[in-house]
Amino acid sequence: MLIAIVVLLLGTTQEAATPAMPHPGFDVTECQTCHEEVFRDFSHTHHAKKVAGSCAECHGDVAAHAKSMMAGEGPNPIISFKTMTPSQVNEKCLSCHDKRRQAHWTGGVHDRRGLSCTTCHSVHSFKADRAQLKTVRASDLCYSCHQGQRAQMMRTSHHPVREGKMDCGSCHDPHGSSTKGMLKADSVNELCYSCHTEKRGPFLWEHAPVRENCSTCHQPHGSNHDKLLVAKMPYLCQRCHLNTRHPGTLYDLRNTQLGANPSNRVVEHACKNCHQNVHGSNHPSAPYLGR
Amino acid sequence: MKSIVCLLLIFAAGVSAQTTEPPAEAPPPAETATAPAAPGGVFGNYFDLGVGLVSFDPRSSKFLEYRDVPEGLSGPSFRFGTETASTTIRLSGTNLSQDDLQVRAYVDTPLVRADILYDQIPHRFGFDARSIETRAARDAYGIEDTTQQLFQSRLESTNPRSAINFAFLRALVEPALNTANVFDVELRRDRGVLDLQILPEAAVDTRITYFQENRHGTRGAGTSFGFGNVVETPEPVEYRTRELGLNAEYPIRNGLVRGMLRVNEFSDALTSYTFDNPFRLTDSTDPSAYQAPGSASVNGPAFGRLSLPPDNRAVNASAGILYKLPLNSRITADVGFGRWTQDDTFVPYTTNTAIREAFAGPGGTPTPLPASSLDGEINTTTFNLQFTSKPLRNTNVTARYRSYDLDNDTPRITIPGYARFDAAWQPTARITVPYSWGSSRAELLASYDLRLGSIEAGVRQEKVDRTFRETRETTDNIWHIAGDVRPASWLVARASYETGRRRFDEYDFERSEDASFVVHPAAPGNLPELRRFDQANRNSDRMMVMLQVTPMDTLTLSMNAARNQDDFDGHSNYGLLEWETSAYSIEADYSPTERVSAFLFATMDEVRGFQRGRQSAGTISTNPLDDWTAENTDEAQTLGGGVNFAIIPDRIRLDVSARYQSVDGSADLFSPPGGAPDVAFSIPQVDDTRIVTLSAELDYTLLESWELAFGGWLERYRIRDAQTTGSQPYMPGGFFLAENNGDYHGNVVYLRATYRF
Repeated sequence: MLIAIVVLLLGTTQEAATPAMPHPGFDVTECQTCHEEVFRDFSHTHHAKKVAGSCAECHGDVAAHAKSMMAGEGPNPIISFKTMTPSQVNEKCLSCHDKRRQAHWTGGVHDRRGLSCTTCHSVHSFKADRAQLKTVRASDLCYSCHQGQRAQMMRTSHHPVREGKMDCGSCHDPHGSSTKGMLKADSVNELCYSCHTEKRGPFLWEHAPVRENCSTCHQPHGSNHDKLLVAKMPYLCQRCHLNTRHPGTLYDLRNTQLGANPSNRVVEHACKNCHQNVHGSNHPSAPYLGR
Repeated sequence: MKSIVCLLLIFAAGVSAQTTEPPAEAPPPAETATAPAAPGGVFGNYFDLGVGLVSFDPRSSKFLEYRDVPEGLSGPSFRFGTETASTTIRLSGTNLSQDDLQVRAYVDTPLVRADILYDQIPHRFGFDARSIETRAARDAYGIEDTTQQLFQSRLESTNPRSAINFAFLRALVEPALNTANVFDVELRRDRGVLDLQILPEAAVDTRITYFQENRHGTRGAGTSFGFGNVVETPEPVEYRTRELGLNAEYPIRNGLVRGMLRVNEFSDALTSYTFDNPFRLTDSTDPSAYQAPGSASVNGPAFGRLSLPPDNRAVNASAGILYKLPLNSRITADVGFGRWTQDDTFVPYTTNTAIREAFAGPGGTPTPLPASSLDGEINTTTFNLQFTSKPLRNTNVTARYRSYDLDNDTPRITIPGYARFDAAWQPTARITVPYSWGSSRAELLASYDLRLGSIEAGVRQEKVDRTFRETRETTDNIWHIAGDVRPASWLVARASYETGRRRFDEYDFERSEDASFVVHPAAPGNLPELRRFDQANRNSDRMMVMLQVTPMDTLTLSMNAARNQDDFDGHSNYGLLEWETSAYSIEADYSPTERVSAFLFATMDEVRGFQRGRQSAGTISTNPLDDWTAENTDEAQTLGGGVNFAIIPDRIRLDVSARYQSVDGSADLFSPPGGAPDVAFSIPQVDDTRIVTLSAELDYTLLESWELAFGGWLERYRIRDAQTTGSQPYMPGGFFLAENNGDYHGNVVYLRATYRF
């Protein structure tokens, strides 16, 4: 109820940001005369169609620039994003885009590492029809810095990123978020539940580390082990389960398909051959998650 | 429901209270019909259709894991857009005749802006699986009664029982497996997403989102009748997830306020499914029946039942504010609440009518359960507060606090006993354990911009408190330093280092295990010196270095090294003791002219875990000679590269690329001689894989509107794993689907025609 009051009060005092006025007497289509190649895709974007003043809105006194160029005196005094520092670029873009997802940019890790909006986005020379990214696939942008994750994504057990069904932005918000790892949810598990909703429960019989953090056992960027596991079973499970009898027993080469004594606790799905509902079970007879 | 209505009223009130003066009208652009996108370009209209020849051998599902590569016609794909000064409509679709089709629509009008996606995502787990079970109903797999009777009779008549070994059982089941049912194990997600922005040009940003996914198919499940009788079956998947969301954001003087409400429902068309026991036609039981078939017992149920994910629902709401302060400062605060519920009706204790404890109801009906359903409820609370400021030139300060609490308020249910694998009654009372946890994170960062770079230092504390687990609270104190240097326009270097110390308040090794027992077990079941690594004391170090050099406009070189290390050794004696990941990469991008561009990358990365265990018989061993260690390692080399060459600009283009990855996994095992393991034989092949992909495409623009592409790609995939390669439908301890998701040689050649308009 307190939040409702705050929202109502603030709602009556809001003020929209005032857009800059275009420079009078200069039609931005005149920029097209010299910058034809820029307009092919740019003219279909919000920047071209919705922003009053268009080119001048970001580049300053375009009329003076045109005059200077025609007089052979160089490009000045135009504002060129290529010569601006990252913080100057960001200040320009955030003057309109400091809302929704971009509201977390300031103070976020990408901001602190000196990235700018134009590191990933391009107003004129974009390759993707969504978000005006500089590459066709968003993940290719991320891989330019996060090269280790590219190699991980190529592992045999992977999310369908290289097949084009997901990309880094499916889980992360590169603009920033309040969750560690810039996740698009309040916790690792809530993010995973957005696609793996059947794991949310709650269940009659719970598995404690599962309730806390999926990444205790899974590596979402890619793994060579089945189901994106960080390690192969049974060894993964034996990091926590060293109970009497089979949980604490050492299984080695002899118990694999290459050995003399294959065991159903090692071959195929190892522990999950019996403990199928490892994420939790609603069966009354499943305190060990086998039903 | 009341809380939802209240929140809806808040949004409505907030929207209606909006009294912002519209901005002074800018002169409207000349109202001309915008020309459609010229052929080509990011928004250009096109339609394409392909035809291809495909071979992949052996028939491995891995080649088609998340995609379709059809023989013959492929695609078609298209993009079509039309626009005026005020309205834009864009439609696109790929692979429309295929299982992995995707269709997208974008509509932008003064009243609404809509982004709509429909996507089909196949997931193929294995081809040519074999099983003596056949699908008898949506929720049932069965075996011919005559087969079950034959197997049961043979086992019951075998004397001595010690003759029932793997050789005996394999000879018994092999004829049935030779005529086994052959099928593919796969499922598909059919997903639709709608993002609707109301009055997109209004100062108030109001959105409605809707998501629905139907997931249908099968996946392998380890359904078992006990220690010696695994019967892997294809678990039926018939899921539906739906979510409706409302988001609103209102600008205020110097900031904004926002709110969100989201309702998500998961439903499973099936509560459970049943599967026949190959070795029993009739129910029977004895205290050792969970060890059948073998010398201990030949009893068990005629069929088993596995419970499937229950329906559940989640309602989440949040509200937040961003407020800008003087001195380039801002504060953001968000608070969120969530409630997850689940109340599906329980299945009975067991299918096995011979277990009288489970069928003690009137007339031999299933014994009533202590509760008919869970009435499960989890409540989450999230709070975020962040303050960022640039109080002085070149100085940046960020302070952040975050808390997340997950309270599992599900009532605890005492179960008087349970049926192990539907085979035998275990008269041990158990009680359910609703684990809860909460975390908090407080962080302070400061950075200073130097003329040629910047430096940052920070400190962070993360606390986690838990119920029903070995620790009540763990605290992780982390320090970090980072910096970047730009001494010249062609050189950027970044580095960061973080070190952390996590400590628990107390460790009670019995608390978690005991929490689910009504009567405290007489002897500990788990090793007292084990420290579960998600709570154990730990020293962690994280390091990253990146270097980017652009010696000329046409060439960029970058190098990246990252290493993360978690050290539990010295704090834990058993369990995970060390965990390390490292990755070293180099990349080059070269574009000497407008007609040529090339790239090359290489990465070496390694994952290593070291753990110690102890082997015990009926009671926990106290003999250190029973210890064993396992060092699990993955070492990967990844290479890739490509060239794009405009042979004749705007006419003929050639694209060539290649990727290679080799991963070598191993389990290095050790046990001192003289103990229970005595010796340990290391496993050299642990998910060893190699994949090579080569592709090339030649594009020829016939006319301004027509383009022909001729291309192909070959892919070679190989996996060697001691635990899964060469699986058979019957192996010691059970029946397995033995589906093919292994090696393949894939070759694809295609011709594609594109019409641009």
